[in-house]
Order: sequence, then C-alpha cells, then structure tokens
Amino acid sequence: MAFKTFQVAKREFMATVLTKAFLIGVFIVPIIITASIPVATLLVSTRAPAVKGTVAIIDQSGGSEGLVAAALAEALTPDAIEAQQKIQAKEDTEAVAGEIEARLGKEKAEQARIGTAIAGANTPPAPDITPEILSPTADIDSEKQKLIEGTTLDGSRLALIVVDPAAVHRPASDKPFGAFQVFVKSKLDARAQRAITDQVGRALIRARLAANGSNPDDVLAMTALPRVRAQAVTAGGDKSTGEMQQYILPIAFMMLLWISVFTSGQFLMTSTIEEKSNRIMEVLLSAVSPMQLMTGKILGQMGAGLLILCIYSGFGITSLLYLNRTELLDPSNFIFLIAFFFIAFFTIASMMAAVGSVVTDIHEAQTLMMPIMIVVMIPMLLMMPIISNPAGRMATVMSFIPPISPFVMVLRMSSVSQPPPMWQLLAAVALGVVTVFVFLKGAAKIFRIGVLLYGKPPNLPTLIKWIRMA
Amino acid sequence: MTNAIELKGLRKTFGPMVAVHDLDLVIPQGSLHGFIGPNGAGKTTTIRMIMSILFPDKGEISVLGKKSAIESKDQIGYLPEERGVYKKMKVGPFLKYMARLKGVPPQGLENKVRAWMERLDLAGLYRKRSEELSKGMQQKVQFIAAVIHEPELIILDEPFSGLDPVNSRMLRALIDEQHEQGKTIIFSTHQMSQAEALCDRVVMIYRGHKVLDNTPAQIHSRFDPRAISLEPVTPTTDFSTLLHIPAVESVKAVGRQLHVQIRERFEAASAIPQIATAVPVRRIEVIRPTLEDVFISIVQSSTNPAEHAALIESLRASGSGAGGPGAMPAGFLVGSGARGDQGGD
Repeated sequence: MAFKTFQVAKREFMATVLTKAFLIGVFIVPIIITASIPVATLLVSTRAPAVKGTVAIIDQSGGSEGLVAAALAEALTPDAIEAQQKIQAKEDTEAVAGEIEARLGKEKAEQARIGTAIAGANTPPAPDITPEILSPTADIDSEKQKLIEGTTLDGSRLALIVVDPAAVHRPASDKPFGAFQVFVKSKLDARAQRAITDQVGRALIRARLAANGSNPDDVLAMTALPRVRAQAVTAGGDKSTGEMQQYILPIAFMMLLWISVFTSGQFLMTSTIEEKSNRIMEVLLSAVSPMQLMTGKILGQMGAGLLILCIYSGFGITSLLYLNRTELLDPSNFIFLIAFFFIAFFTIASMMAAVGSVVTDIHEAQTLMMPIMIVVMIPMLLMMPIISNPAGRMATVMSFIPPISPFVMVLRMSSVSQPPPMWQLLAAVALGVVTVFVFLKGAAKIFRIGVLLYGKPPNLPTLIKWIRMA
Repeated sequence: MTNAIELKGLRKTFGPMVAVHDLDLVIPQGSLHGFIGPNGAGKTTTIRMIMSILFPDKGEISVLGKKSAIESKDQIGYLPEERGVYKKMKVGPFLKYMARLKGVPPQGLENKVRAWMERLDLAGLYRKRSEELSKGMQQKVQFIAAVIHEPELIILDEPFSGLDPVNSRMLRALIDEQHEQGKTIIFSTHQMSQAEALCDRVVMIYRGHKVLDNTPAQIHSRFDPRAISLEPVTPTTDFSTLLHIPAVESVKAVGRQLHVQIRERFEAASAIPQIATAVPVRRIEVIRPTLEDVFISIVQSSTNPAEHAALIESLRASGSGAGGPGAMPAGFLVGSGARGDQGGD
C-alpha cells in the first residue's frame, strides 16, 4: 500500500519539478532579481533633470550689512553646489569601501573605490542657479507669487529663501536660533530642492560660527566624525555587528519558509484541480484509495518544497560564505527551520489539498482560498513588529496560534539578543505536530468526498459539516 | 461457479435523493453483464459502490470474494464514466504509471504498453502528449489503462460513448476477447444494440431500482408482446374477418399496417397462416421487442406514476432471472407502432 503512495508521490514530484513554471519560478526569477539590482541602482542614480533659474533670498536676520545674504548667494552658485556634491560622494565611497574592507579585505574595497569613482563621474550636474538678493523688507507673499510663473528650465524663479530674524544672532543666549524657510516651484526636482536646502543650511551655520568669532573651517573639522560601527568580540575575531542579525536573518529564515511552503502548497492545489478538471480523478481512484492519493500528492509536493528550501538556503549560505559571515548561522536554527518547514508545509498543504479537491477550476478556488491567504499573510504583516520585539507579548502569543506558529517561531528563533527559550521552541513543535495531525485528518475527509464532486463547489460551512461527519 | 460480485440490499442516498434502492445483484464469475438504464438511473453510483469509490448507506458488497474492492483493486480493471488523462503527460509514461499503480512489475512493462498500443492502432504515439490525441484515441488509451494489469474483473462505464463505428467494433472485439479468456465483465451503456449483441445477461436499473435482470433471450420472451404486424395488400378498415379467428383478441390500424393482438393461450407464430388466409398480406411478422423498446417503454410508463409503480412492482414480483413470461402490465405497450392510436377495438 505504501508502494502506491510512493508512486503517486514520485509522479507528483516529477510533474511539478520538471515544468517550465517551476524552473522559471524557482531559479530564473531570483537570478533576474539579483542581476537587476546593479541595473536598478544605475537607473535610480541617473542624472536629475536639468534645472535653470533664480533663487531669491530675503534676509531678515539683519545686522552684518547683507553679509549673510551674500554668503547664501555664494553657497548657491553652481560651482559651490558641485564642490559640495564631490565632497559628499567621496565620503559615501569611503563609507562603503570601509564596510567592504572590514568584511572582504582591502582588495575588494579598492575595487569598490574604483567602481564608485567611475559611477561618481556620472554625478548629475549641479542645478544652474542664479542667486538674487532681495531687500530684507520685500513682501514675501508677492515674491512667492513669482514662483507660480514659468518652468524649471526658462530661468524664472525656482525658489525663495526667507532667513528668519534670529537665524544668525540670538536675541539672548537662552533663546533658540531662528532658521529659514524655503518656498519652491511646485515642479522643482526633489534633488535640486535638497541641494538648495542643504547649501543654505550649511552657509547659515558657517555664518553663525563667524558671527560668534570662530573659524568655521576649524569648528566644522572638529565636529565631523566618520560613522563608527560597533564590533562584537567573538572567539573568531572582532566582527562588526549591525542590522544583519536583527533584521536580515529573521526575514531570510521566514521568507525561506514562506516561499517554500506556499509555492509547493500552490502546486499541490493546482495539480489537484487539474486532476479533477481533467477527469482523471476516478481513473486514479480505481487504482489507489483517496487517502493514498492525497498522501502521495502531499509527499510529492513536500519534495518540491524541500528542493526549493535547499536551493534558496544554498543561495543564502553561499552568500554568507562569500561575505565571511557564517558565524551568523546557528546549526540548531537549521534543525528547527526544517522542523517548522514540515509543520508549516503539512498544515498549509492539507488546506490546499482540501480546497483543490472540492473545486473544478482555479476561479472557484478563490473564495475558499481566503482563509488560507489570511493565515499566510498574518506572519508577513506582523514581521517587523515581531522582529523588533521578538520576546514581546504579541510575539509569544502568536507563537502558539496553530497555523501561524511555525512562521512566527522562525522569525523569533534567529534573534541574537532575545532568542525564544528552548521550552517555547519545543512546545511550538509539539503544538505543530498536533496541528498537522488534526489538519491532515480534516483534509482527508474533505478530500475523500470532494474529489468526485462536480458542479457548484461547497461553501465553508459545508466543508466543516463534512469534517464532522464520521 | 463462484460469484465475482454480490450485492445485497444496497442503498445509497445523496441528501434527499435516493440514488440506489435496496439493490440485490449477483454477477457470476466469467459472465458478461450489461448495465442499461437512462441517465441518472443509478448505474454509475452502483458501479462506484462496487469500486469502493463511494460507500453505501446500507447493504453488503462482496467483490472477488473480498469485503470491498479496496482489497482487490489490483484485480479489477475500471474504466470510469468520468475519465481523462494527464494532458501534459506522454501516453507511454502515463500507461506505465497506471500499470505501476496497479501493481504491474516494471520488468518488460514498456514492451507490454507498446504491444497494447499497437493492438489498438496507437503505435507511434508512445511519446506523444495526451492532449495531442483525439477523444477517441484518448478513450483507447484509457481502455488500455483499465486492462493492462490483466484484471479478473473488468468494469467499463459507458465504454462506447464517443467512439466512431470502427472503434466501437474494435472495442467490442476486445471485450469479446477478454470474455473468452474467462474474465468477468460489466459494462454500462445507453446503446441497447451493444448490450443485446454482447451480453450474457442484462441488468436494467431505473430510478435506483433494478427493473430487469435476465438474459437477452429471456427478456425477449418475457416482453413478447404476443402481437403480429401485417400490411394488407389492399388497405382496409374492415377487421371482421380477422376478429373471427379464435387466436385474435383485437386489431388496431396503425397507418397502413394492422397490429393484431393474440390471445394468451395461442402462439403468435401459429396464428400467422390463419391471418394470412383471412387477409391477403404484403408482409406479416411477429413483433419482436428490442431491448430498446423495453427500455423506452419502461421509461415512458414512468410518466404515469401509478402505472410506473405497478410496473416496478410486477417486475420485482416476477423476480430476477425467473425468465417466465410475466404478465404484461396494463397500458404497457411494446413496439413503436403501438403508440399513435387510431381507431382500435
């Protein structure tokens, strides 16, 4: 009898794995996504649209005989903006290169520097701005009106800067400084807006420092500090810690589980529907019992799911090896991942098999899929809250709600700072085993009746009635 | 001779509808049984219960000496009414898969599949996807799937539907051949001519009841209408000469023909010379009911519930297999001419 189940499983596995849909879904899509990241980066960093026009300055800060306004005008010239962009690009490159050097060594860091330098040659041209200093008493509202006219290319007014009265000189040392307001043309590109705001802000700080009698260059150099990363001390050497453990790993584990379970569950449902709509069900049932058929199909799809899991974890482990970060992987995590895979798979698969067995085409399946979709979407929606507080009450409660329990546990177990206690992991596994048993039993009852049923698909209450029947 | 199938008091309901009413049936080993009956009569439900695909609400089933077909699945070949193939699967691998599911060992299986395909004019389609086959070809593939494991009991649900005359004849020859090898065969059909030509025995199921279970010959004699059809040389409405013959009970004109009902104690055949003497005839013959006539008349009598109940009762009371000429229920008319009354006695 087990032999027949095995035959069904074998066919199910082969029929699933050796299809174009599977190959495309499992291999080609991730490859395309990975390959498209550099392309996407290039596309995103393409040049901002050219911008040409005036930026008017109303300096209400008073004193200094228009020096502040002059400094702002100076900072807004294309040359000044371009110089600042170059400094920024260099800092960014160094930050990335430093990160790479820490992980992969000097050689790779050098390659990255060269790569970014090449990309840097591609930096967008600075907006072509002509500063225009207005009288401090100019009417702001009527000046703002000028922003409405013209385009961002015809040399008309692009922005209006209004410097607050206390922006440079405080009325008293316990009072706060004022700042400035920026009004822009509604169609002005966001990058140009940012360049203007940043330049004005910087110039204002320098003006304050100068007004205070300090040398702005010295003070800025003294207050600048490169980004520093904490380094965790481990037996294998110092490693910088970061978001990797806190976010990437739980998300990766959860996505692994989710994709493998959901994909193979979908395959199970569609293949069951296919057998029904092709009217092959009864031919099969002349050779095997409904239970053997369902078990065989579930086992075959489990093979497909495990294959997906292996392929993707393979990708993951390879990239961790490449990044020299294998210490992040705890072997016990993999054991639990596999355990939770089986639990999640059998739970979802039994629901999918039940739905597939009672409908005759994929459209009819939609309504019955709703509860399953809710179950599989909950962990996705709660992913971020659970990761940021993996030992919180919500995470703990969710860990013991049957169909979503394995997903939540997989999210929690890779947390470095607050891993779930072992008893919770084991309790979740025990609960999972019971859940699987109950779900499979219910699905078997529905499957047995459903596979030979044609016509209008039953609704949920009917399905529950079937489960209750003998 | 042991029995391949025994059904006792089988009953199956779907909600309020009773699909099969307390059905008793015995199918001896080696026999070729035809299940006939209109759509929705309960044929497929009965077959599915025999196959343990459905389970009866009441009653006992014994298949090849086992309590259920599940225990003897590998000795049963089943061609369901709802039959299909995996569209994307190739024909050869599909047949191999079905054979493996039915316990055929893998050694020499491919040759066996190829041999069968050749016999059914499917040679060269081994590597074709099933979806590329015509409906008739698919049906032949399904037939191979039903018999490839050399089952002792073969159940074919509507095997002739969708086949052209050439393939129908081929299938009939194959069924005959399996029968000669001593296999027990049950097939259901709407095509009475097939059942009449092939079967040892015919079971008619109607509205969940077994209304007939007999050999075709017995059915003929039982439904013998004791009627003679004749066509006078000169059209006449004067039946008096005929009514004087002692064997004649009544005469009815149907178009240009006359239908003569024979009294019970007389033989229809022996009345022919007397009738022919009384009226010069162009043609005269005893009306022989076909299974189709029996079938249609049973179905038609059901439009009158009282008549129908009486018919069912009489059929049940006369017992299955008794074979004696049962009394014709009132209003139970056989023969196409008996309808469209004009004139009469």
